Amino acid sequence: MKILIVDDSKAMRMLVQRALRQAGLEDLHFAEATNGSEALEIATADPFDLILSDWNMPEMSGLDLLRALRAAGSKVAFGFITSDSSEAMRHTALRSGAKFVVVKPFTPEAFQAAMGIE
Amino acid sequence: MNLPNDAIRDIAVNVWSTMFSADLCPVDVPESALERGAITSYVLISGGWDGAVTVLCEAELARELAARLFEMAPADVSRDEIRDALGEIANVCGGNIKALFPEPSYLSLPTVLDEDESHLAVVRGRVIRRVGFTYEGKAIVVALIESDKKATPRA
Repeated sequence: MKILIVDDSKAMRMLVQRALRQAGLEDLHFAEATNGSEALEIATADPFDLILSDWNMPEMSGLDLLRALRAAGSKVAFGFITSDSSEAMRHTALRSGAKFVVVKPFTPEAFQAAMGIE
Repeated sequence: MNLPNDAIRDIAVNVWSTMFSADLCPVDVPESALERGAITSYVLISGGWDGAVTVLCEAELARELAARLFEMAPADVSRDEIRDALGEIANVCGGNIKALFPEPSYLSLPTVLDEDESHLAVVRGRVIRRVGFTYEGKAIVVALIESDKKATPRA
């Protein structure tokens, strides 16, 4: 499974990878981006099975990234990982095309539940 | 403002447990502790409440925390990695604390002040909540500073 992780924190990108492995996902290949702009460039050049993005980042937010991908016709599976979570934010995320929102701090079980992993 | 210290304590303990697989022990930390030589990381909240959520700890502990997150030896952790780790701790604590305030509220990107910047004010205001902890014998303080701009949050 090819996953693009988008977060301006290198520590958080590592924690996400660690949690996904602990969630039982196998054959994982990760790419990383530090903001939405960088992610858009990477995702445009290379197909991914899933993009996991922070909400609030410099240069381009996760929401703007998602909207740009959808506007370009991409149907890539997309999930938010964020500490900044409210019902309004969750509603906006899902309405914009995200499949799920995982709240920081997250556990491997949170990814299992969000991604339907048994 | 109905924001008990318990709520902040519980958030910090949960963040630590999840990010570090470790226990954070609530204790009374004197105000004189961490006055100098501390690293401060913070996020600003605006909207339903205006202020900052700050996380303070000694520089040595900050290095240890970063080493733990990056799975490196403390001596090998860079200044940027320390700032990254501390910033993310403030971000996660702040985001969860933000959820306690009326919506809409907005969270800033985190900022980290090194020990030689500790004299800089995070935001002009007053400390309204201050919760102390120890982790491996070293002090950590999570505090809320309410901005002088607004005295009380909107209902």
